[in-house]
Amino acid sequence: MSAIEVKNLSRSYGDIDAVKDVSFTVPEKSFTVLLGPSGCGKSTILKMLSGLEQVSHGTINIGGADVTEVEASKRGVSMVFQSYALFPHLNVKENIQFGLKVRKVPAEEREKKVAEAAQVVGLSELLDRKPANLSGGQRQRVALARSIVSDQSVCLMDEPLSNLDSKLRAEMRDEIRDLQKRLGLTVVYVTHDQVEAMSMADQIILLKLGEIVQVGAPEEIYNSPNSVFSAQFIGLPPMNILNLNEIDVSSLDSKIYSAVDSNKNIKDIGVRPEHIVFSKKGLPVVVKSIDYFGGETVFKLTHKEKDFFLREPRQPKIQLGDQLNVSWNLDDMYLFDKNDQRLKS
Amino acid sequence: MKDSTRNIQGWLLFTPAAILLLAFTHYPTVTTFFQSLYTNKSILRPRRFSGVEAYESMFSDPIFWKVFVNNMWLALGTIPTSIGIAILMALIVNKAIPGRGFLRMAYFTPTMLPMIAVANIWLFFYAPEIGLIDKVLEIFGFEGNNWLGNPSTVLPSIIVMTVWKEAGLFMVFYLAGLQTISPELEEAAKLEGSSRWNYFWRIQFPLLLPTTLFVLINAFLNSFKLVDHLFVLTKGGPDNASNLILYYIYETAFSFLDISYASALTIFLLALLALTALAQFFFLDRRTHYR
Repeated sequence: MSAIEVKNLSRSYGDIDAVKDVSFTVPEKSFTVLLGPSGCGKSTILKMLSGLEQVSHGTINIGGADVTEVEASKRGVSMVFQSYALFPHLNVKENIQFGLKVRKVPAEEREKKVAEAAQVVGLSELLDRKPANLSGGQRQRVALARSIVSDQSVCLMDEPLSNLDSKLRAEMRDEIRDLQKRLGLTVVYVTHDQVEAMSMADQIILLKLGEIVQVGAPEEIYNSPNSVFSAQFIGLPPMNILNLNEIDVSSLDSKIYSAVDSNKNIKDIGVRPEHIVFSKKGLPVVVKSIDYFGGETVFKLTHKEKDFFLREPRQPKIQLGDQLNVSWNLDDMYLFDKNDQRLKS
Repeated sequence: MKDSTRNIQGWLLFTPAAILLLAFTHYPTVTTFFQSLYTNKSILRPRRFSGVEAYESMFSDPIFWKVFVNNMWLALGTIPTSIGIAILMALIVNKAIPGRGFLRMAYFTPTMLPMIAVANIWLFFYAPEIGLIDKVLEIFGFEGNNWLGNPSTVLPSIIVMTVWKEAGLFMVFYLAGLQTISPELEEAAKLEGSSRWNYFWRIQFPLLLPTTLFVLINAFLNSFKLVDHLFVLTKGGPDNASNLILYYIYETAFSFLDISYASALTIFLLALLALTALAQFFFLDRRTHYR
């Protein structure tokens, strides 16, 4: 059963269409990530799910009920904001139980719930602190605790990790994912960071300019992107896209050449950096830069003014300016047509 | 550059401001204090040291107590009302409503007018029979009133005018205060089912407390400082019903030419304002507590 079902959802501001005819479902107890660059409408979709933003067209179902016109507090959702939205004059405990007080939950039950939630996120010692005296990670935990005590089955998160440093971000990623599994929450999570999406999501909804580009599990989108946009947005460094008119096609390996030559609709070919290897024959390249990361080395190569990346787990003896050849397996190559859509070979 | 040269330069830069401050603030304050300790000089009697006599007569002067109580009523009548109205106006113009810029300007206009101009406008409102208020009352069949001529309505009339004049200024402070509150707080509260009313009392009002404190103290100081309108409207009358401390000082000094007594009154007012200013320093330090 799906916890959330969105049909033909649109939102326009005057002449600007922020979200265009978007439909998707979020399975119960799953972790769904709305992923896309800034301005793709992901936060607008989340706000429409929460009820804080009006819907222009379309319907939203949460838990089997049509909530399109239902006010925010009656939708059965909780939300974690980018800035955490903690009340600065209230201490941690008051912040966590704010909603419980509004809903007039008896004091005894409130105490119990706050204590439980604080325990879950590891804040039991800090209940008397004001938000100003907490670290970024602790504030994040207060926001999570507030969401937990609300007892809603659906939790919406709007770039919750973007204000944390990278080490803390990695920690909180695991923690949020763990929390979601333990509490059986349905999470809709907005981010522009593909690493967060890849490492946390059960399902990624990739958006661009208010429209859905691709929906699927992380590995599905990584292994079979349906377009140049999908291919390049997921993966770091992104997939190399080589325009056939800009490269020396005749230097390609014969098998690859015949595959490319057989279809006149092909405009670009795409190869992931880890699938490109140095070889005796193939595309002639010059080494432009070398980034050494320890576990891997990323080479930036140029072929006829066109830059692309090669990722190599070992540390080959190659220097800047070296002239080499690269190639790849036929199976690791993606083909795209003139509309940047994937061609199934 | 040598330290001594730097010091001299520093003092030179400081001198113009120091001269102005000394000549027009510190020196007059000190002479006023000494004048309050001496009797007035006249042709018949030379000046003599009288100690705290002027202060004693101040505390036994029924008019002094009357103007002091008037001033307190003015403070009590204007401050809570103008703060309430200022918050309400700030909440309205903080919303994304059409004509917001115009409304903000309209609310702020009374503040930009000089007090004398305000008094002239309200003189027309309050004028008996031909005034705006009496005209409107007449339409609904009510009896008019000589608002400024009646001892029981004159102070309330001045209170109403002061609120009208001051609320716009306080609104600007509240508007600034409101704009420092993240809109995400309202969204978070809304999602928890908090009503507009509950959000105001539980979140907005407490977060505006530093602003309120600032406004409170300024409004209190203003209620002693603003007397320009009395020159136009009532001259403190009738029977001192609208007289205020500062205006009484002016009258004592320049109409009754009792410099000694006026000096004592001035020192009293200065002490009162200084205490308030100190309180402001003391309380406003606690602002940091929210950040």
